[in-house]
Amino acid sequence: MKPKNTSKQTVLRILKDTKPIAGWLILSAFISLVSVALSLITPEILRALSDRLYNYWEPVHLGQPAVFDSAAFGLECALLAAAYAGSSLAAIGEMLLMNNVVSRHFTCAIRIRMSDKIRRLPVRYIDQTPNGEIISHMTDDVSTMGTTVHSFLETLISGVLKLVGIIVLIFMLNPILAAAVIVFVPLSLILSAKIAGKSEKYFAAVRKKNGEMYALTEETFTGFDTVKAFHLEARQRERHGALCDDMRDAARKGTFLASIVQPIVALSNNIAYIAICIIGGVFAAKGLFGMSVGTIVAFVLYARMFAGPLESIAQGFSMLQQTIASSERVYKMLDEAEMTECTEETAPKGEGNVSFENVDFSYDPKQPLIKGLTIQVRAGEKVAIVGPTGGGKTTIVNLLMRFYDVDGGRILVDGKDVMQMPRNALRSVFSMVLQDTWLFSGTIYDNIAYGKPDATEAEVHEAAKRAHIDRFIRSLPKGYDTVINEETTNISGGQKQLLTIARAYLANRPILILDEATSNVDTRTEILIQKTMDDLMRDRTSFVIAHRLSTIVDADTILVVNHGSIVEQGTHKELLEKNGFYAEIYNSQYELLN
Amino acid sequence: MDKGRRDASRCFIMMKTILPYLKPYRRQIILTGILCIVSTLEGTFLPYLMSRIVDDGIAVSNMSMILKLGGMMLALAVMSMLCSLWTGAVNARISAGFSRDLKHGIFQKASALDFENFSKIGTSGLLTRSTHDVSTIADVSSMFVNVVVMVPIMIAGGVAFALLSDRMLALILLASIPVAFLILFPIVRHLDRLWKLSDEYIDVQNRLMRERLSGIRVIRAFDKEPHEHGRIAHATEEMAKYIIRANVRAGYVNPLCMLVLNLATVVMLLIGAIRLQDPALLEQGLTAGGIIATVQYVALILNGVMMLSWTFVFLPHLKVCINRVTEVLELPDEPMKAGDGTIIGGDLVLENVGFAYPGSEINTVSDVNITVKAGETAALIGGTGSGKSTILKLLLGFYPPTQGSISLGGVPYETIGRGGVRENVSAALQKGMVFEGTLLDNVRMGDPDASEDAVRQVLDIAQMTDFVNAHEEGLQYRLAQSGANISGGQKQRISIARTILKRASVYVFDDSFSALDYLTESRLRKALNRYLAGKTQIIITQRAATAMRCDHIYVIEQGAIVGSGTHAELVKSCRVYREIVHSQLGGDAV
Repeated sequence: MKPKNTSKQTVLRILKDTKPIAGWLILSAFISLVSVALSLITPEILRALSDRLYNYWEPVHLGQPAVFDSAAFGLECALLAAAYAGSSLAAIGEMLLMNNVVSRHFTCAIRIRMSDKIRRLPVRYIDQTPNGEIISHMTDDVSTMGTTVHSFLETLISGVLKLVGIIVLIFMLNPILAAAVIVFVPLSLILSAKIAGKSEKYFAAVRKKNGEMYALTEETFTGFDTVKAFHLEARQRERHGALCDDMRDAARKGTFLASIVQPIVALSNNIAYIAICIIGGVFAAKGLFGMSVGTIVAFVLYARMFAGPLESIAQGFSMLQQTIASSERVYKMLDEAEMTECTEETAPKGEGNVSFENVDFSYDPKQPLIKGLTIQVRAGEKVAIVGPTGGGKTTIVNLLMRFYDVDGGRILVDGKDVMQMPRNALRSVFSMVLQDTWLFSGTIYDNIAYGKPDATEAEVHEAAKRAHIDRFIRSLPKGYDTVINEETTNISGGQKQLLTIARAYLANRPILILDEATSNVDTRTEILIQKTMDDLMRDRTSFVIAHRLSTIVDADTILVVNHGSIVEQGTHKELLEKNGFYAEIYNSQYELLN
Repeated sequence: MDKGRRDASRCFIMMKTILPYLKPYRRQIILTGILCIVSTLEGTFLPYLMSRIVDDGIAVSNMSMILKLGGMMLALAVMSMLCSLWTGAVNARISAGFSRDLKHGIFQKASALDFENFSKIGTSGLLTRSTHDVSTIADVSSMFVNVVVMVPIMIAGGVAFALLSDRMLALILLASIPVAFLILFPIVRHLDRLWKLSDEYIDVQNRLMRERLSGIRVIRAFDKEPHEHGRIAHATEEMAKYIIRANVRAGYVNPLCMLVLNLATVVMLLIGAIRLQDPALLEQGLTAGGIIATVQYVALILNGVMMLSWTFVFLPHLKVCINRVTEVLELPDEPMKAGDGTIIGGDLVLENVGFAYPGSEINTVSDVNITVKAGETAALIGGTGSGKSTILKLLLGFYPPTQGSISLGGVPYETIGRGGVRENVSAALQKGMVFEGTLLDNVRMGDPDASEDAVRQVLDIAQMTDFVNAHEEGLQYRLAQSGANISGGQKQRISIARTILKRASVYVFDDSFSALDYLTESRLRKALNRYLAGKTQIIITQRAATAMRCDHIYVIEQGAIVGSGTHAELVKSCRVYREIVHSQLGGDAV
């Protein structure tokens, strides 16, 4: 459990966020006030009506003369109908108002703020937070907040008002009967809350087992070929059966406990009902306390109304706990430290000179990664970064593009410290082609023009031609207007990679980064891509991360990265002569030959 | 007409697959039905007794009558509660048991499917079916059964008691039911569609967000964050519109229900008052208490109608769920014929093998001829999508070839049977799958009877000794679900260890070295060749360096063998092979 005062702060903050809709909330409160007042009147009218019926019937039944005041009865009926209609209309009005206001101006606004926040969050945050988590904050957590704000007025204002109103009215009608209502009705709620709490323990067990079962099912069927190849069907079935059995036993207990609630609530409500009938009946028969049949009827109705607001207030409180937890997650994201941006309007000249001076960097302060890295890259040179997978090659790209900032030393582009210029200005001199082809859902045309939205059609086509993908695009039924999305299957991984190359080509920037751009592509396509990339690298400074050494032997500088740090640096020839780690990797691919 | 018949027969099939799962619980189901009837009847009795208190107690000041009737009410209420509690217990047992049986049934069926049928459902399809669909079926059908049993009894009981006091009032009561239903049903009817629609818009927002987060580097490189933010903001606004639409529609239900219910009460009171002034009716026993009680039945019955119409919201959804579950359960099991345990000789022959995936008209592989003699090592090299992995699936008997034949040790695959084939062919698959459990468990999947020493030996060959020694649990080191706590290369090596532990005549390695660096691969291959001496090995790969050393290399492109021979022969004769070697190893290797 969180300390009280942080919860309080969170609640205050939610309230602060509802400020823009405060006027609407007050209006809605007013409407619910009307609705509550109308619904509280109705048992009173019904009491009068019942009394009229009874007071006419009783003497007639006993053979005495009586007069039925039809006009008054009719008027009261009309009044009752009007009160009912008014209360329903008010409820509908409040529902329409709150749905529109909360969804449009509260939840939607918070979601947009979160999306906006992401623009200013460092890549580090996005790398470290699972995507699913951010998305679930944005949908589920915000939606929980919305529901609470929505039902807040209903629970707090109408609930409390109704409760107070009923208590006052029934005590005015008859304090003894009122006591019966006040004792029995809340009793059922306390009992049911206790039981529900017990059943929650079992449901938590069910959820846990369900998660395990989900994982087992996923494991079994994503590895279906292994399961089949090694006859593991029986093993997996046995495990699944055991999980299912545990889940059944927990579910059975939980469901049973949960099912107790309703009969107990029904019983205590019925006891209140019966108590009213008996006590009220005895009083009425004896003519005590001015008790009438109508009063009994009114009491029965008030007793039935009494449970409603109590339940919604109880629900509101348990909901509040959830909401505080959800809001804390949302606010935590909104409060994350943002990137500090340099305000100077300087941009690199775009010549393509890059140097690292004594750069230190680590993702985790406890594990230093790069220490004292110094590289000099002159415009037009080709720098290759090689090493085993997971060795940290991508870190250099992260630093160059300022996705991450150096801990010590500095990186200069065209003689200027990258920290001294705005990020977008720095990035405007780079083009990137990454291993994971990232295309957004949209047309092929828009995807190519992504880096240069003002490109002419001819330029886009030219870029596609240079990337050897123009002919393919034209062979598609919709050509450049073909929409790429998750369901797109008629474009292969290699073709997607060519599209990202066309994108980089069109952007036409002085420095190029190629990060394992061909690793997911088959050999024939790779040859094609390789030519395109050689084209692309001509006259540009380029940083190439490669796992196939054949493509980088001609690099001006080769950086060999292992366990996160640069272990060797030099040209292909120098490194082979050195006979170190590079030579070992290089020769190992031939060792298989002998 | 035709569609109607098809629907009916589909319903019949659905019932035929689901009903057996309910059969073990038929006694309990009948019991809950009876209990439900009893407790509902008791509930309808209460207002009637109240009217008797008014008429026979208060009106004539009969105290003992009031107490007697009150006592009866209390007894009824307690009995009704006991019945409900019992129903709850039995229901919990039915729904938990039924869900368990159905879930396990789906899992069992799915694991017994062949690949053709499995691919129709898919992993995520199976997950939805065995979690979400099953619980929907259990929940909605028990809710539905309850409502369907309860509501008619409520109506019948309510109308019957109303009839006791006045025919006209009973008639109005009965008439209010269709009126309420006509008002509610149109509102409720399309709710599920609106919910689905707003879910779709939520998905759109989430998809855009996921896209943005996964492409954060490219987006920032091109300074497109404002653009992406705009797209998401727009999607969020759209989403709000649809959420409002669905919520508003659902929000109408309760106030309108209350309105109908309350107005019916007013009408009952008015007509009751008019009827009360007719002396003839009074003679027949119409009382004030009767009218007041009848008014209470309005609430009872219309509440039932409301429940019923809510249930109808979920019915289409229930049908969809049952249908999806049925789709799995009605599929046939894979025809498995277990081998007799003897190891067949290692001569592997593929003769004119062609294969098209079910439903596809184009052959994925065609005219494949491969002959590997016992003890030889053959390589199959080609790019992604060339058909290499399809050949592996045929080798393991996952699919029968559509043309040609495969034989092992001179015996055709059909004779050996799928079970027998998998006992004789051991394969390490591309993904390097590991399962939740200990390292020992995972390797022993290849041979459950293997000793720990044997397991250590194969792990050593797979270059995993360092890994075993690095963890103090050693062989007992626990691997997480799908091997989330180890790297891709480690998974591949565990999978290799498992594969060679299995005693078979043919060993297949499908891209099993792709996540290993050349150095590790080189050491592993040397050890492997010593261990598997005399066994047939098939190595499927994209790497020229991996293929070069094999006795025989088959080059595959677009589903056809475009060259075969040794490395030296292929470099001379096969253009595709030359290109592969050139692109991967540079000019000097050629």
